[in-house]
Amino acid sequence: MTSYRIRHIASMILALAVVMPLSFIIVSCDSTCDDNRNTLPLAGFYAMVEGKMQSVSVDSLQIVGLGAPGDSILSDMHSMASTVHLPFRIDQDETAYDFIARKDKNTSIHDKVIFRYSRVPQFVSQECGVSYRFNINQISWEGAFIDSVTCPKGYIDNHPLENIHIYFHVTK
Amino acid sequence: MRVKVLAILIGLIFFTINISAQEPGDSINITETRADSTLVIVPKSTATNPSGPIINPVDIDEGQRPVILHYYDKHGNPLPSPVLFLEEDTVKKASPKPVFPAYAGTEIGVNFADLIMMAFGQKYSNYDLRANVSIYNWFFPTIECGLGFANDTPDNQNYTYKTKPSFYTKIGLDYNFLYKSNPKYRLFIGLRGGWSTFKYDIENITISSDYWDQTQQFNLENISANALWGEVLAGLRVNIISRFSLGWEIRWHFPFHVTETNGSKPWFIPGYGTGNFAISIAASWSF
Repeated sequence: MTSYRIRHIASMILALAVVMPLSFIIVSCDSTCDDNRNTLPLAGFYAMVEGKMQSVSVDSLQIVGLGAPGDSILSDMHSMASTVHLPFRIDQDETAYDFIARKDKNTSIHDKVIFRYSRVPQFVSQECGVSYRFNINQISWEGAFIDSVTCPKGYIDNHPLENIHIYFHVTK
Repeated sequence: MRVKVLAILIGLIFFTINISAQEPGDSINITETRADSTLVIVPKSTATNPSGPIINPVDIDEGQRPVILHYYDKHGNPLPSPVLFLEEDTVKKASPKPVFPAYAGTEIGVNFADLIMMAFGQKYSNYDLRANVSIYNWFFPTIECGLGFANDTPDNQNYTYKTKPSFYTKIGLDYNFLYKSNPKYRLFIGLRGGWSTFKYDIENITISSDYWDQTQQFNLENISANALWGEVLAGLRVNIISRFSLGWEIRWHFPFHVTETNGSKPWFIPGYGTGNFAISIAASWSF
């Protein structure tokens, strides 16, 4: 083997020695999930104020999932809050919540909201894994202080965005 | 025309001066008159003038170039005195034309980069056979056909991703920068278009809800997809021994179309991989 050929083979090996670690770095770069690992609906509170629909903060509002184990309270707001997470059931296509507003020590008003949807599992990415996408079929509500409930996009996925709007009556 | 007339005039003047300056019996041979105004003058001595210069023919070099005097510069302006060029520029401009024949050989190779990468923990592989034809050792139309598969259960994740061995194809062209050099060595860039149709499974999926105290496990199987993509690559190929060569390439991928099923996009595409960059290492045999 001539020295010329030996130099070429050596340069090839050297080039490989540079390329291989570089490719390993490129391939094994870790990345994290920027969204939720599970789909978690986020509801925002709104009301008509001075002729405009505005985001509002609510206190003294208790939210309970109907059929939750031990009737556990989802949210017991003693402080002001303008949003709340409303996790959906994954074993059926319907979830109901009881919204309890306390008028005073002894009196409370109950409103009920029912979400009906279809669950579609989707592979989001290697980092975020598999989560449900909830395609909203119907939202119904009944009571005194909730004016309406909407899902503007029509579906809820694992993006950490506000995807439910709850509008309250405002009395002057 | 004017240049010719001027040259003749100057020649005549020079001739006149020389005639008046030389001793009787001398003669001057004008062997050539050129349009570019240079004169080749070879003095000749006569036997009847023994006092004149006598050229001894012992050291005649038949390969010696004739002495050339330049009387005008390159713009056609007369020089103050004739310029004698001792050296002529013999360097010729490199011709852009190819050196090798139109068909300069065929090469068949195999890409085995992912065999090495799996030893470093990569969870997917692409292996392909490739063939190209050398056109003037300059352009190399190439076809690559192979199989890709994947099997990965990422840490802290709720699934196992599997792609069955699936076929892919790439067609493209390489451009060799060293097309006039020894064909045993190539430095090249290239383009590829790739296509693959495949199925993948996502198994052992676990989804839970802490508030509702619920956990579900299920599989998503036989999800069909296809993908179309482009590649830009750069690489090096070196002959090792006889007709056997080794080479490597860095490739940048960009997808044109990837099937989305119920919001799910495949993580691994056979032939493409998982990201925008990939490395190929190929062993090849030339014919």
